[in-house]
Amino acid sequence: MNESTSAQELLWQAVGIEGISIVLLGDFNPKIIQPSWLACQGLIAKGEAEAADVKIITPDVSVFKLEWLTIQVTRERYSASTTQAAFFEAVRDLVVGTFSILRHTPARAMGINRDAHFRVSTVERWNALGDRWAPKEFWKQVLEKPGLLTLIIDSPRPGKHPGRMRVQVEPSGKVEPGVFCAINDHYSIEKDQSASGCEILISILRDCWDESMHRSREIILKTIEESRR
Amino acid sequence: MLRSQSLSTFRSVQEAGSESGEAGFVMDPDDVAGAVRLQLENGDSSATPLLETQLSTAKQKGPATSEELPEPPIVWLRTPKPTLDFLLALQKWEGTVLSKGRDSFQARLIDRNRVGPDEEAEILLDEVSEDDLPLVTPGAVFYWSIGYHTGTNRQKRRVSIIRFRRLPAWTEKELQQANEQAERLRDLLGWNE
Repeated sequence: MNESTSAQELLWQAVGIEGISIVLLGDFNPKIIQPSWLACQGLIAKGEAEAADVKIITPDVSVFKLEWLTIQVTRERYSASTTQAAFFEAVRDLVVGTFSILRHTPARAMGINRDAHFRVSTVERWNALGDRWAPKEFWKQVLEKPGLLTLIIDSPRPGKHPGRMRVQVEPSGKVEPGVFCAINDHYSIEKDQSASGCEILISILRDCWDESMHRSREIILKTIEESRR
Repeated sequence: MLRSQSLSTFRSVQEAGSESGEAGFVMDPDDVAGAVRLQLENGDSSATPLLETQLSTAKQKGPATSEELPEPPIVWLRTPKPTLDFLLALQKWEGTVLSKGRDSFQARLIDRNRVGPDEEAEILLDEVSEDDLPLVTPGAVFYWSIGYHTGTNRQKRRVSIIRFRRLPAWTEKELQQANEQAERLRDLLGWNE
């Protein structure tokens, strides 16, 4: 293990909770996507399908949970998420598998999202971090006790695929004192490309997953590093 | 806590709400995952106290017809969010099965977090979930993680999880495309001569 990797590993220990989600926007048929169908297709084990916690399955919405996965599907939006780091790749495989079978489902955009709650060593450093990200000089002219609730930074993403990255930071509700950092890696395709199905987005998911995860991890690491200044 | 600070640069959502004297919580208007929309039928006995008052008022007017009854009220029934169930990975590998024995299998492992040489390991089949055992064949890909799992009861335990990749079976078209690509490669390398 080289030194910089080791330093990153140490920084990453500040992370208390992390999760990912893959979100597709398009036209979906929620009733199809249910545990028994996923098991029939070999995408999850039969035992997992039997133990699934099905919240609702109707023509308009499908919501269910496995031990490691939550799926929410409406007519316009598909989301698969987990807070279990051991299953990040399994979620990607499930989405790739699902939409390799449902390859004619029109989808126009995709988000590969990663988030983490990390601990900041002291309240003073936590406040100082908020001050650096959102200086209060201006706000103190018009507000009595200005405080940062949410900060969202948006930027085009480098690379050949059209899209952008959005980073959101806010106080953590899970780790105190801590910061919640969420990264939305957004990919979009042209309307005429989406009409024929979701093959383009799924191939992007397959090919760009590692890069996206790495980029998100780097951003989270940077914010942790910044919190230690 | 933040309130003891003379200047709060970050402020938790809950505190912001209470300081302003308004609702104790500020919810994301798009976040309906924790709420169940409950549209009550007229006369539903499960109505909340407020709704009961509205309904009894309507009933006092005399025999109600469907035209006379007020619009059915819509209530957002807030359900408490369950404690999060999460797993932090200390170590993650992506593995490929090289061979399978009677009680174990040999695998090549790639560390997902670090740059380093591939490793080889022998893993007991007892480590694999029963549903995944049929997937343990040479060439199969799996993910192996060691970490801490925190359940909804906040109990923390160290876990080792092996999960085999599940992808749909190859279609005839995909097999044909793969064969064509292999043929092109063979031609390119001169192996067909």
